[in-house]
Amino acid sequence: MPVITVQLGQCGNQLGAAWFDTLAEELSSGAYGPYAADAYFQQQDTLRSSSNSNAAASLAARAVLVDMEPKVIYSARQRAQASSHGWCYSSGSAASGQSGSGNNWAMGHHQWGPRMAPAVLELVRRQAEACDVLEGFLLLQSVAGGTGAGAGTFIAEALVDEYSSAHMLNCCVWPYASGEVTVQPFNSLLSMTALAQISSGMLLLQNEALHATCTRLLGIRHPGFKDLNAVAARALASALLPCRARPTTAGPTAAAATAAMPGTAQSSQRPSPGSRSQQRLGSSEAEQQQQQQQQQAWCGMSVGSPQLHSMADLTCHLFSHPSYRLASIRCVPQLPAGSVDFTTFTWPALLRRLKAMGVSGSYLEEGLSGFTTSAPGGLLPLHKYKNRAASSMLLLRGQDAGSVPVSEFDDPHFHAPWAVDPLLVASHSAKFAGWQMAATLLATDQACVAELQPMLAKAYAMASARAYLHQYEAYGLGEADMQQCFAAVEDVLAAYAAL
Amino acid sequence: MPRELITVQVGQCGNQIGCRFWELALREHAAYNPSGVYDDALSSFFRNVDQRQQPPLNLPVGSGMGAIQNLKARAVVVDMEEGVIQHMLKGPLSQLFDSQQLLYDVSGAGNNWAHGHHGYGPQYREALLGRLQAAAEAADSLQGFLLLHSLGGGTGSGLGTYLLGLLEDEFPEVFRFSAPVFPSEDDHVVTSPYNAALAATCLVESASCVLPVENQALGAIAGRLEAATAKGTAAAGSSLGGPGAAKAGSSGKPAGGNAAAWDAMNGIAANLLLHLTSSVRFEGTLNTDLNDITMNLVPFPRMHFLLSSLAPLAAPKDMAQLAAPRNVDQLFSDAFSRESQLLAADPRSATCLATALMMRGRLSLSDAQRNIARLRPSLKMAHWNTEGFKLGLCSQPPVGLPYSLLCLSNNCCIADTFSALMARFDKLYKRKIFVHHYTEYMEASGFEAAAECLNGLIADYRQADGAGPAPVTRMRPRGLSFL
Repeated sequence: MPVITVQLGQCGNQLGAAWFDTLAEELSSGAYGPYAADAYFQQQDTLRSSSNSNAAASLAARAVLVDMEPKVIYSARQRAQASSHGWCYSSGSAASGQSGSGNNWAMGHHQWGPRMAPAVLELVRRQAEACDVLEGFLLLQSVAGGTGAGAGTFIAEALVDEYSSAHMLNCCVWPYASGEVTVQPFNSLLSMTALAQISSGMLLLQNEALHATCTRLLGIRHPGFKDLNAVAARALASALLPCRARPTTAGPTAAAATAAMPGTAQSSQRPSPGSRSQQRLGSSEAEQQQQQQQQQAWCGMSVGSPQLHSMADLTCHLFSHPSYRLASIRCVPQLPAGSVDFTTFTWPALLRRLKAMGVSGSYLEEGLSGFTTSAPGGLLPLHKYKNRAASSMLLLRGQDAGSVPVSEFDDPHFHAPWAVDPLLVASHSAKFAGWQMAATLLATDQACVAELQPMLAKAYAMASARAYLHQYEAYGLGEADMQQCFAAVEDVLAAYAAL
Repeated sequence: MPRELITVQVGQCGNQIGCRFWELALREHAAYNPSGVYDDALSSFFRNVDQRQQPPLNLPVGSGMGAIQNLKARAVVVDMEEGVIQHMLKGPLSQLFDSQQLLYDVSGAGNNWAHGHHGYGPQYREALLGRLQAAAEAADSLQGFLLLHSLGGGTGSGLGTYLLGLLEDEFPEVFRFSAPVFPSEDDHVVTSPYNAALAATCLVESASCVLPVENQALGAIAGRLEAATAKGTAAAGSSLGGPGAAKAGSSGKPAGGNAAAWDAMNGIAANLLLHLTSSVRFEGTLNTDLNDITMNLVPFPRMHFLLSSLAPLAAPKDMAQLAAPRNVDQLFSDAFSRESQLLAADPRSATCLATALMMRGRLSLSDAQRNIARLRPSLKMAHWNTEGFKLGLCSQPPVGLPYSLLCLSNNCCIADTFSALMARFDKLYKRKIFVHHYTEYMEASGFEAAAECLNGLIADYRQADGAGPAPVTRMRPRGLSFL
């Protein structure tokens, strides 16, 4: 089902070009079936290609490129043309302003957003008309800048207003802690709170984590943005490429619940379903459970049959609770390209490491010795759990992915006690990124808000020193709005801390 | 679509720097545009004019593949004496300007700010407005004005700041950058403290962002370069400094006193401007344009004076030397050292409120981060911005170098520069020396207002220097009731 990608700002456009490149490369293997590319690309009649597009390109990305400066869009198109996987951006899918947003969220949101929105909505409408059934939007943006953050948030709001039944998944790039932009505390928090209200869910990609992956695991000593984008695009692709939900038998109470509500999602095996479900029903979070189950019902995942899994299913399961809209993404293995031939892949080792990354909250596949266990059921002593999630999703790709046992992930200590069927498992047998086996864990966990706390502290310090406030006030964002934003961030932090 | 910058060069010093700037800009664009097409990068600074038509027609960028017909600078050239302009019009740059862009008179402003600001200003108001509006109309989406002038003389400081006021009234949404030359301690124009103080007041009020340079610092840098290259002349460029340089102006004397040294100093200032605008013109992985600078480096409205430093300042003899990472690290060390600043100030002596590092060429984000981590302990940062560096990456290096770095910082040590200026001002004003020349054109209260404004600015900077964290009240979480 088609998804329109909206690339916002310089970061969004650079990441977007890498994203489509990765997708085109993976889909070109043909292992996903003839219609898989339809989700993100349009088959293009090569005879009618315009002068701008790659003459040999048969795939036109379902994308809208938005930036305040024309240079970035130009280089994204160049990258598409230079790609060897036969894709391009369709001509006339870009909207650019003339002068940048100056890293000012208020300028982006209150001034440029309204000016750019009609043009962007028009482009989106054209792309939407080319889809038979629009599933949703994938927005790629950074949260620290001015365009992706400010104007991007305004455009996201406009899209939600216009297409209220479509899902919107925001892929937000979190800046380096050591700063790329001086006012990033204000910009990132303003973006996060604005998006939290309207987005179906936000996947956080952190520049620090991507950088560390490149330097410590991929052997790239001086990574540039190109390398970071490649890692990020691969992680995204591992989450969004097609796969099938794995049906497994559920515990007795869950089965009763599913019988009562047709179309509820299934869960994988749990160690002690009986006692947990009693706990569940007695808890004060009964309402949230209801909501969760309802959400899953609307996803249309039918009982019994393996469903080809799409972005909507991901959004429905992962972001089923309205307070937990930030999720992290961990993709293993993290290997330099040259080591792939010399590595032996085994599912147990891979999954054990991924579980350890989840439990420790780390994004890197190293230093995990304290968090692995070979105990049956994969349960660790309680004090080892540094990270908990409201819901999670495990995606397996590669040989035997459909049958690998994953009971260790259905860990009651890793998930919140009130969560109903928090784990969803899906798989596909196609090789991903040339790796024999790959696994991805998406989780609305506490690790992804770990960066929010220091950013909030800096924002408080700046606001108390009244630094930069005049720049925001010039565009209509006053101190009261800032205070409201801080309060909303405190809410998010409190909600995740309560997991 | 192009984002244009209009350069307004006022006064002798402003025009001399301007001429070097245009030479270097042409050289840079010529190096990166061998086929002579009129593209977006060129259109930031130049118009493409079809001279065959009457009146001459400005050609748009279009697809970016059209050939260059006739380049005209997007500039307004103003001087109240004709020496420098005449010299320019006789030289190779004469083709860049058409008569509609020039405004000159013959008698000069006599090193009197009031004569420039309150005398010539109103007199030439309509003519100046006409030229500014013509230049602005020729631009599709005007990003900013660059004002080149000195503060010690009469025309650059007086008429220049009058123009700044005009720009603020007529084009309030367009950024006004000023690159003024501050007079040094040993300036030989006696009234330069008055001129500088009165002009600086206007800069505090009307400019978006100011990048001051000082002849003393530029001269020292040029002298070191000259010694380092072990050749007679340091400058590589035309000899524009002939008759103009010897005239009384607002500049201190360079070490050699010869035209080539003036050229070198002006060249450094011109390089600063080229570097600043490189990300606007050329592409890179982390674009930084002028409004990013204004946003990130101006935390408080009136404190918009930035310390700047460039590294490397000249091509080394052995280009291969520059390749090693050790030399990249040296670049960053130099950028924060006292000797590379274009103003006589020590960046490590006071708190740094915000810093921007704009890199060109083969530098990467990891180089920047590594060096920031290395140098940060030796810098005093504001408590609310301990890690905030604005980074910009442009892929095109300057001509002849594999990479270069511009460091702009909003540093409280600039209060020292202003204090020194006010000390010299007070010495004169206590006895009301030369005030009668100024009161021909303005009220004496103007002096008091200037002193108050600048002393206030100094106080603001001193307060921000070393200010500790204030107690912060955290917002209470609202709980899930908002759902």
